[in-house]
Amino acid sequence: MLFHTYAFWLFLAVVILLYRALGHRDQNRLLLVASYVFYGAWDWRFLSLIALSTAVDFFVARGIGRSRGGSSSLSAKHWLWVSLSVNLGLLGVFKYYGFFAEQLTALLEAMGVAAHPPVLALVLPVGISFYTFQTLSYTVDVYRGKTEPVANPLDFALYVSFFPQLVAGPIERSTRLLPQIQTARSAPDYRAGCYLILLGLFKKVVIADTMAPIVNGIFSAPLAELGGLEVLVGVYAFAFQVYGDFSGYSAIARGVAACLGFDLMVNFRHPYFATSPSDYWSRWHISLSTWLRDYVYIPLGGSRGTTWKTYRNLMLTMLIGGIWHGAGWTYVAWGALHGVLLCLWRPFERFKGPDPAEAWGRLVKFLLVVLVFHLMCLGYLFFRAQSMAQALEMLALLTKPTMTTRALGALGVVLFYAAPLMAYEAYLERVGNLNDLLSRPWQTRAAIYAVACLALWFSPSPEVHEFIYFQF
Amino acid sequence: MNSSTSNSERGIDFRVWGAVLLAILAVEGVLRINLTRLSRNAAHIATIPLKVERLGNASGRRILLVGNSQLRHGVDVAAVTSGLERLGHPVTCEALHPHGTSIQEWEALIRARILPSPNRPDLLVLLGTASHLCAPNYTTYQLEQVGADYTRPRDVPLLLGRLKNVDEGGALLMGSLSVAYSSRRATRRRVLTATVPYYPEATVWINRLALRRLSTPSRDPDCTLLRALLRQCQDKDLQVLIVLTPMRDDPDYQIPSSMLKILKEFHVELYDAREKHFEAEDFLDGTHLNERGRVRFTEALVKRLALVR
Repeated sequence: MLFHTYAFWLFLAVVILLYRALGHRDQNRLLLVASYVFYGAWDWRFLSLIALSTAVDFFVARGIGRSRGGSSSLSAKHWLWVSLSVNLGLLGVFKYYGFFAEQLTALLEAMGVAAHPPVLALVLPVGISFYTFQTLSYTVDVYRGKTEPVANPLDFALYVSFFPQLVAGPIERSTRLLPQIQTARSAPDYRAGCYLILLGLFKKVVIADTMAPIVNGIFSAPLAELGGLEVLVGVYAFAFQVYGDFSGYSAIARGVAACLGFDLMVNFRHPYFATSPSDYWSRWHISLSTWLRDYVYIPLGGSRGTTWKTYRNLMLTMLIGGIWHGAGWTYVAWGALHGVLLCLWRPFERFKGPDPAEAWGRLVKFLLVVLVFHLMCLGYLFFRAQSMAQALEMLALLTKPTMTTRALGALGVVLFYAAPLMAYEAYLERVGNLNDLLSRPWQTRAAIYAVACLALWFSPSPEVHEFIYFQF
Repeated sequence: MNSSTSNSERGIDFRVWGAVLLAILAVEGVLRINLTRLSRNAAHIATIPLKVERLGNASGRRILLVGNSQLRHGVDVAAVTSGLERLGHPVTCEALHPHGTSIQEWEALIRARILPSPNRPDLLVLLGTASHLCAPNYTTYQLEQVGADYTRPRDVPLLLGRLKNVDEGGALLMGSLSVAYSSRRATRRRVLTATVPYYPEATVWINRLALRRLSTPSRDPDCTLLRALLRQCQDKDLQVLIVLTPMRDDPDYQIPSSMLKILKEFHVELYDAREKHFEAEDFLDGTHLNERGRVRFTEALVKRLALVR
C-alpha cells in the first residue's frame, strides 16, 4: 500500500475511525493489526521476517535484562551477538547475498577458477533495512542500559512494525517511540498531521513524480545522444526527485502518526540549504545519519583518536551508509564520495561558527549552499546511475557542456516545480521553524493549502511511482 | 506536535479545509463552463454524438474511423471520402480521435456511444499500433478518461468486474466526478507550454526516450479488450477493419500472435500500413505523420478501404 494511493487513504480512514473509539491498550492492538495488514498488502509471506526479527529481539532484550540480574547463563554480550547475527544475517541474505555471490564469481573467474555459487534469486522484502536498524537499535540500547527491556510483547511488536514509518522510516529509537506506545498518548494532532500529509503529498506527487520521467529518460538514454547540459539537467531533476520522494514519504509518515497521537522524529530539515557536507548530513535522512553516528561512528572511536583515525571512522561510516542503500558499486562509490567530502571539509569546519552568514556574510553563505548542492549532485550521479561505467561516462559528459533547446526546456520544468518549494523552504530556514505555517492566520494557511491542493489536483503522473526508498 | 498545545489547536481546521474545498469547487466550476473552449480535445469529444447522428443520417456507406492523434495527424478524412467517391464508392466518413487514447478508451467509447445508437456505421475502422490495440491493462490515466467521457451508469458493473484494485476504482470515480481532475494532464501541458521556454521540445524528447525505454512490451499480450470490443461489434453486426499505423522508431515491431488469432476468430481484416514503407521524411516525430506522410497514408488507406466489401 503506497501512501499516495486511494487504497491507503481508505485504509487509514477505517483505522482512524476505529482508533478514536478505543482505549489505549486496544488502540495499540488495533495499530499492530493494521501494521501487519499494511505490510502484508505487499507480500504477506514477508510478515514472517518481521515476526522473526520481533521475537528474537524481544527475547534477546529480556535475556540481556536477566543476565544483568544474574539469572541468565549467557552474558549480555552473547545475547547482543544473537540479535546482531539474526538481524544482520537476514539483511545479508536478502539484500547482499546476490551481490557478493556475483562479485565472488567474477573474482574467481578472473583467477581462472570456475565458480558456481548457488543462486537464490530472492525478492528484497520492502523496508527490511529500516525495521532491521530500528529493532537493532533497541537491543543495543538495552545492552547499553539506555532502555529497559519491554515486558509486553505486543508493545514491542508495534514498536517494530508501526505502519506509518515501517517501510521507509524515519528509523525511530526505542527511547522516543516506545514510551509513546507504552503510556497513554496525547490527543491526535490533526492540524499538524494534515499539514504534514499535504506537504508530503506535494513533495511526492508534484515534485518527485514530475521529475521521474525526466530522470528515467535521461538515465536510460544512449550516452551518444546526450550532451553535458542534458546530463546536468538529469542530475538536478534526480536531486529534487529523490528529495521530494523521500522527504515526502517522511512527512506523510509523521503526519499520519500525528493523526494517531504519535510524534515521530523530523527526518529532513531543508538539506539543500546545507553549507557543508556535515551540515548536509545533519539535515538529510536524519534518522539514518544519527543512527550511523550513534551505532557505528562513535563505537568505532568517533573523533576521539588521532586525525587519521577520525578520517578512517568517517570513511567506514559513510561506506556502511552507502552499502545500506543497496548492494552495488554505485552505492559504495556514493558512500565513499561522502566520506571523502566529510574528511576534506573537516579542517575547515573549525574556522566558521554555527552560522556562516554571521561569520562570513550572506553572499559567502549563498555560495557555500550552491557549492554543497553541486557536490551532493555529484554524489547523486553515482547514486542514480545503473553502473559505475555509466556514472563515469556521464561524469565525463559534464565536462563538455552543449546547449540544446530540449535541455533548456527540461531545465525549465525542473525549475518551475522545484523553485516554489525551495522558496518556501528558504522562508522556513530564515524563520527557523519547520511548522511556522501552523502559527499563521487561518486565511494564510487556507491560501497556501489551496495552492498546494490545486497543484496536487493538476499533477498527473503517468503511473503511480513507488517511493524510491522502498528498494532500500 | 508540541504536547503543550491545546486540543482546539490540534483538531481539524474546518475553516481552512472548507476554504480549500471552495477553491477546488470554484476551479471545477470554471473549467466545466469553459472546457470546450479551453480544450480542443474536450471540444472534439463533445462532438461525438453529433458526428454519430450525422453518420446515421448520411447516404452511401457509412464509415467511422476511430483512433488517436496518429489518426488526427495521419488521415485527411475529406480526402478519404472524395478518394473513395472517385473510385466509385460513395461513402460518408467521420473520424473520432480523442487525444492519447488506445483500446481501453476505444472499447469504452464504442460500447457507450456507438453501439447503442440507432445510427451505427456500416464499417468501423480502428487505427493504431499493435501496442495501442493490444494494451493489456488500464492505466490510471485511461481509467480517469474512461470515467470522464465514456461511462454510462449501466457500464459500472462491467467496469467494476475489470478493475484490479481499489486504486483503479478510485481513478474511475475521480475521473467521472471531476472535469478538472480528468483534464489535468491537458491543463498542465497548457500551463507549462505557456510558461516554460522550449517545453514542447523537451516533452517530445522525454517522451521519445520513455517510448524507447518502455518499447519492449510482452510479445504476446492477451488483447482482452480488443476481444471484448470485437465480440460486441459482432453481436451488433458491425463490420470492423483494423489498420496498423506507420511508425518511425520501431518499424520492425511484431504483431502479437494473440492479436492475429483474435482477428481470425472474429473474421476481422487487418491492413498493415507499414507495408507502404514510410520514410523518416514522412514523420513529425516517432509516431505521428507530417503533411507529406498524411497524403501518402490517406492515399493508401483509400485504396485499402475500396477493397472492403
